[in-house]
Amino acid sequence: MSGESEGGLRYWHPGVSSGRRRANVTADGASSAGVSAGDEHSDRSLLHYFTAGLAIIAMAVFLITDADGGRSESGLWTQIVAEALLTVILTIMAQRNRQLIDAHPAVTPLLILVPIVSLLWEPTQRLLLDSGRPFEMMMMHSQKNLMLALAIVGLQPAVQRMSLFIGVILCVFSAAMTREHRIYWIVAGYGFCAVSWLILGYWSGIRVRMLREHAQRLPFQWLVAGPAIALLAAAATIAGGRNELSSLRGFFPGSGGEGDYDEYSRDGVNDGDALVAGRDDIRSFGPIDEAPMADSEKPSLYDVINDRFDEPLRKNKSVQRAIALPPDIMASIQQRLSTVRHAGREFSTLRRKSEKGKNRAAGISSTALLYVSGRVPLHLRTEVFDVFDGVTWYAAEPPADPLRLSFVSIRGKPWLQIPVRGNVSEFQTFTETHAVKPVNLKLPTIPSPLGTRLLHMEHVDRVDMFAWKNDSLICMNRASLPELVPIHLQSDVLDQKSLRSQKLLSFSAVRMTLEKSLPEGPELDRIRSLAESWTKQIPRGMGQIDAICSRLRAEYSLDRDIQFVDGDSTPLTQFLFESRRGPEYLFASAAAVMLRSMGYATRLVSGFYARPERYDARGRHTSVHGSDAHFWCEVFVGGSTWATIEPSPGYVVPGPPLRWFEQLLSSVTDFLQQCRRQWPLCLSGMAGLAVLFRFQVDLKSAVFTLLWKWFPERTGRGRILQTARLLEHRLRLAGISRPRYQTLSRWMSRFPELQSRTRHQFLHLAEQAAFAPEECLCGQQNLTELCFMAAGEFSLAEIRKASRSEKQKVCCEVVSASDSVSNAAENSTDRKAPG
Amino acid sequence: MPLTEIVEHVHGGDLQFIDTLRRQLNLALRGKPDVVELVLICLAANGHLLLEDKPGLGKTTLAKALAGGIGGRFSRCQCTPDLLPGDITGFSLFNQKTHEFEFREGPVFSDVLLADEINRATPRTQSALLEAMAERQVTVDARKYTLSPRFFVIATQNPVDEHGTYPLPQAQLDRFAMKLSIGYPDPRDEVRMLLEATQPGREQLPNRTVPGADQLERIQQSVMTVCVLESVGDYLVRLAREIRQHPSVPMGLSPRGLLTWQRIAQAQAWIKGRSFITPDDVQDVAEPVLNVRMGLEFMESRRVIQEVLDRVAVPEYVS
Repeated sequence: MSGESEGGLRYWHPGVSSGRRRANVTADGASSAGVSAGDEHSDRSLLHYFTAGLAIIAMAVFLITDADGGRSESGLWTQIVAEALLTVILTIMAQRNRQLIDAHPAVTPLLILVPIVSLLWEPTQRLLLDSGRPFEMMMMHSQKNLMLALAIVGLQPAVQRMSLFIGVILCVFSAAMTREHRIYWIVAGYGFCAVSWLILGYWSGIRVRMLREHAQRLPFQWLVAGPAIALLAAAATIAGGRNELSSLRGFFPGSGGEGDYDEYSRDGVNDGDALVAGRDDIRSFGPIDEAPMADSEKPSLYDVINDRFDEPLRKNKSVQRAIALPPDIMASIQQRLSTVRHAGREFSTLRRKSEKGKNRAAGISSTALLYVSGRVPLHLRTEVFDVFDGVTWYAAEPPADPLRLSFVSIRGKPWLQIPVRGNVSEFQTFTETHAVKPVNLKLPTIPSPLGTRLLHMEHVDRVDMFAWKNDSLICMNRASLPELVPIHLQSDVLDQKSLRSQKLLSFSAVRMTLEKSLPEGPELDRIRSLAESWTKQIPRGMGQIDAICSRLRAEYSLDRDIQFVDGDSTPLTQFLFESRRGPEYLFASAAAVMLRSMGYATRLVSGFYARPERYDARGRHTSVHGSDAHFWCEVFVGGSTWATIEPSPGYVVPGPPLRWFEQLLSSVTDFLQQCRRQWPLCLSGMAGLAVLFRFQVDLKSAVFTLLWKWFPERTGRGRILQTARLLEHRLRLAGISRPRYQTLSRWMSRFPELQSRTRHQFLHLAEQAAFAPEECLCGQQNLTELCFMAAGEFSLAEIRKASRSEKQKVCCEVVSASDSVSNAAENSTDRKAPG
Repeated sequence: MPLTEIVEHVHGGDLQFIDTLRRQLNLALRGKPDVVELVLICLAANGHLLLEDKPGLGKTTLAKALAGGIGGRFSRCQCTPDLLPGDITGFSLFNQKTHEFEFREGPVFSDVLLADEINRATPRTQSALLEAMAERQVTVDARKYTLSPRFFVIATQNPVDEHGTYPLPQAQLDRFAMKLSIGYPDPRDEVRMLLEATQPGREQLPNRTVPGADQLERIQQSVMTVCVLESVGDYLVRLAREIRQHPSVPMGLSPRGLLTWQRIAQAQAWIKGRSFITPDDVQDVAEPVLNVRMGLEFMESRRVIQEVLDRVAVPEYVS
């Protein structure tokens, strides 16, 4: 019978009085570590199931995208659940018969067959069931099936990686294709799991090689934290500025577009017949079978312009102004003034302030006039003005000898070909496609970018539907454009970068008398001398044009509310020499007139500026509102080419499309800019995170301790074991977690700082609780007290101290070992030296 | 059942006995407390001991001290190639006077038998001895003779001179509970040993133990009742499986070996005064127990054992 009372605790201690505690017999020698075959096996099968789960998520993501709202939810989910179940069952079967699958020669041919059969199914479906998928969906379907098959037979890491790789592609593809919100969440979940998979896979690979001290536990915190950090970064990038996620879209081939035609396709310009109709979403692009009969007041361009730039002031006829136009031009202007049919054919720079928004009906949700799909910023031209009398711009006339419009068939679709007058441009251009869908705009002119060459409206293939509005604009032969019908436009955009690098530009515009005409007078001389002073010592060419634009942009400010007095001087001179602030039309007029005064041919253009800020990533289009009405000017650069010039600050002329690394760079800069803009939030968030990171160990320990306090186990044995687990948590937090192959008491005996009577008692009790029959602890009293005392003595601070000194010890050993090595080396050299 | 009753079988006197024995053995074999401890464990577990070491390291001294300590009969046989089974088990001798066969007991009829250089005996002799170890009985001329219940064999073998030896086959080695190597003593202990050699009077060990005839037996009985929780048993099985799967182990651990392992761990727990074994016990005795069973060189076997121990997780502290 041996029982002894220590600290009010009946505590059985062996050896009665002798109290021998013998040191361990076996040497705890260092040894290499390894992972047992069993561990490796369980790791592998865990990874295998993990891969199958990931494949199922990716499959669900893809199927939801594929359905694209066109199928019933129940049908969609039935398919997802059925495929998931099949995958799970087959995976379990594969795991059970791993030996068979690992080496079976039929596996690879079967895997190759899977995508082939999936592809072969498509023609069958088209023939028999009269339904089909677009080309990219077809490809992705076969890839999805291959991914599932790979996940099922994925006993080898390489196969799992392959499956995961396809899964990632499917997810990115789906995220880029779809508009559904839930997809982003599922894809985020997929990303999280996939990064976890990577960590897990890496870990199970590295376990074999790591020292046994560190190789015990999966780094679960990193398994969660790693993906979380990655996702947070991604989310921050997406949240920052424009929706950068949509920039991925360009990396995927969409059917249709300028190239292929596929009747099952549903994206891109030149869409197929199976496009999503705009019925459920009025803003979606697609041919609409029956346009909603919206009988509302739609603003005409005249209203839009007046809304934006106030109404023109009716000129007081008695005021005499010294405007002298050349007689030949004057004649044509007189003639034209009489033939102006529509309001808006002329534009006065003298305008009156009006109360804005007075007529706006309440409850109109969308004020968008039109939607633009394609790259923005974009200057959509609706009117071109060539003659300027000092106050008023007059719109360009339809050409006297119009070039013949004709239709060409591209992939079975009628495209209106817009011919170019004169010789074909000798400048470097790139082709861009846009689609424009008028919604609330009453306008016959087709808003189109400069250099539009091809135009397509669904089912419209008659030339007499279109007419020249002027030299460079096409309008429809009807009161207004059909609503909600997308107009696809393909344009040759001048590469302004290459334009500037080109040394010799002719700018010779012999025929363009109108575009060079100027109102004579003292004001013009002032303007001319100002222009000359701005372009002094700059050779003729784009440099001068840029100089004028940049001076205007830098020294003048945009102010749409400014009032110009209808006095002796015109608004243009008031703007240029007095107020130095004004609306866009004065910027554009100023640039046009100054350039004209220097002999360049220019024209004023009005229209819409599609702002990148308005880009709707979900709808993949940019809305254009009344406030986006804009003026800019164009300069003739030679041949038959005009270049867009943007003198207004805050507006840009887009360069050539970005390459992928430029896109990436712009994403990053956007993110950084967003950070800079919201620096207090960023800084405080980072500081908070830093604090959390710094004190994470203490916080975690506090959480564990509170849990331990608040939810105590009822039995004494349970309480002791709970306390032991708390101790293990603290050890782990202090970086000296117990290796799985050692018991707690043995592990704790390594740390001389953590020896005390209470601790010793507790460890012994823990051992007893864990490995002795339950009855052993029944008679013991004060177990809870001892647990509290032990929890106090094994505090995190103490454990950390022990961990530090342990690390120092290890360091000292290493240093002394290296010292002895170097000493030995020195000795040997010493010995050699005299010899 | 409260703890006090459970530990009742760990009789204070029994522990005292072990304590005394330990002191005596430590006196006889200087500076080797760990070896002595394992010898005691082996004794308490009622297993046989194989010492493998170079000559002159104290194997015989240890065996003699042990025999003296437990107060039993001590016998030794020097194994040579011409040693016959009868020389070990005993033989029937025709008595001319009584005209009857009389059985002459061999050295196995003792409490502690030191079989020196067992690998020099022929396989035939070896198997006779090993049979006696396993069955604790010998059969001579179709008559069974039961050996002492405390019968404890310390066999030694010399790893250096391999000429003319008959290495023990694995099946036979399994009969030993553990294999130990004594190794050279510390310089300090060697100095003390030299000093003691100059005082011949003190060389005699005081034979103070008054052995209860059944005391050792009782100890061995109570060792068998030391509790092994299922989780710890499972740990043992996992270790055994790991050893069997280890690529460099030619012969896996037999169930008999596993039983022996558990018994030895129980003995260690008992000697430490515990009524249950912990994974620490299992780990502590792993090396001597497995050394004899894995058919590997000493260093290699140590490496493999450490590797295996480091791979298998101990049971968690869960209720």
